Amino acid sequence: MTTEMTAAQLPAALLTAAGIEAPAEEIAEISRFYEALRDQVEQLYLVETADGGPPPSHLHRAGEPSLSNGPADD
Amino acid sequence: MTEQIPQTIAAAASAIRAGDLTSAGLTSALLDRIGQLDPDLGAFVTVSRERATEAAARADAELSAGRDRGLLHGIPLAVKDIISTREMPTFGNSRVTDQGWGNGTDAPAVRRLRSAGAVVIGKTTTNEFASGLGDPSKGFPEPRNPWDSERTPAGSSSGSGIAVAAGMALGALGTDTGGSVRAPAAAVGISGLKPSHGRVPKSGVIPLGYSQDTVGPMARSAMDCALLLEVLAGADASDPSASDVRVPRYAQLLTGSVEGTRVGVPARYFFDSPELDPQYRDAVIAAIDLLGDHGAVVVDTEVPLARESRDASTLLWICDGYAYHRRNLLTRWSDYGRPTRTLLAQAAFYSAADYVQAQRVQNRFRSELARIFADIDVLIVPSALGVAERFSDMKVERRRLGPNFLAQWSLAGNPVIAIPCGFGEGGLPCSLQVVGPAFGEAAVLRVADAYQRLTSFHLRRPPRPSAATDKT
Repeated sequence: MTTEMTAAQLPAALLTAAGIEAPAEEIAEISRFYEALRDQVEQLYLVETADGGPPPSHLHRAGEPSLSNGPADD
Repeated sequence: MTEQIPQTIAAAASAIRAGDLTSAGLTSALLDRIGQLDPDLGAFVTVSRERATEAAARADAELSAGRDRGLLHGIPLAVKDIISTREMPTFGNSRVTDQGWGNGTDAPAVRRLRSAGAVVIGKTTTNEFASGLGDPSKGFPEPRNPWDSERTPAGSSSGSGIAVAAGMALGALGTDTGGSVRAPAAAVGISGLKPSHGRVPKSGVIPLGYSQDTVGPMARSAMDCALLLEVLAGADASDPSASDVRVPRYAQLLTGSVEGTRVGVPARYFFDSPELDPQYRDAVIAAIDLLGDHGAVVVDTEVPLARESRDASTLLWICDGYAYHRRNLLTRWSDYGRPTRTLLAQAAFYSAADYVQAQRVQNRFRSELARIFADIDVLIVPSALGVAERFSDMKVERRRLGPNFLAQWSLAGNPVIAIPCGFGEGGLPCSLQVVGPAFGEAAVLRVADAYQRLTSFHLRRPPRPSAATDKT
């Protein structure tokens, strides 16, 4: 049995997990915003908000040289 | 004989002191006007005819006895129905509200108005819990724009805006979390001030977004907003977020001059959005030009993160609102209006990390604005994308996902006033916002008042039948 969930099923699952029992048509209404809301939220993560520490974009990423610690390990 | 109704608080205060007007006469005239107009406009949930009449008589007696509480003495005002008042229930436009809540108690903002002599005439309609949209099935009055009853008065302080615009109250209290004072002020052509977060205590108010909620004055003029803010502002032990920053005598600081005032105009996002109605934009630009002609120094300015700050504001207040209503949403889903419950339930999609990131965007945006205000005194931007929408054209998607010029200043906690600046499509009001640095209400009000001394848009009334006689 697969537990994989489609994007379309996710909003209803999230509402159920939160304990909200809404009619199907209202879940559909809430779900309509889901993709757009996610896009908006992802944009917030692009804002540098390090407050004095290294911004997330400067963190070492696998396979790339770290800006602060020299070349990455091969 | 009908009592003449002055348009502004300042004019009414002068008339009362000159003996040309009594609070009792003024209150009676306004109550008559409410009786005539409100069945069509839906501004009031509750009208306190008897108590208001008694309070007005007391105000007159006090003045006769030589006790003058100040410029609000005997002035009839309305209060948004999410703010507690001792003699009237607070519904929050919801069937969920416990009708026992708030009974017998004035919120500090209301208490301060009464102490200054104001007469509270009624509670005004709001979107449910100051969020979402109205739900006619819940049985509350349906607010309509007095300029065109087929158009929205905007929200959530809908009734307060309508009451002032249609001359049913000289001023009113609204609340603003993401634009709820300024949107209706813009839609109905009055002045509405969102103070700095913490400038006015918000205890005794049903919360929506804890970190952005504010209580603000709505009136015909910036001068009237200043008179109201002087009374409303200041720390209160019941609200830990209420600031003890000194409260200036705002009205005395309104000199009528903008000579040398540096006015920042951020073209990107705020003036170049394709969704912005050109006629509306032109009205705002004409207002900026007028201020420039009278000595203001107009400066091109960049406001970074305009879109992101708007989105962060919305995320925060939806999550805050969900946190407040969560238990009731689980058990009383259908008691909430459909627009409210489907809006707040969207918070279930946000993660804790999303919320934290929005808070970090809030901090970053505040820093950016502080940097900008080191070089300018105020910003001016449009209040909306266009004039008030027709009910039949309203699209929630457009409202949630399209550009918005209100929420940025809520996120930052800065003061901002919306004032009328002309008329657009269908003869409906256009509006601009004057934004200031944190606790810089004096600068915001001074620029708005100076503009209103040069123009008369703020004194125009909707073309509705009137039994009472209006005068300026």
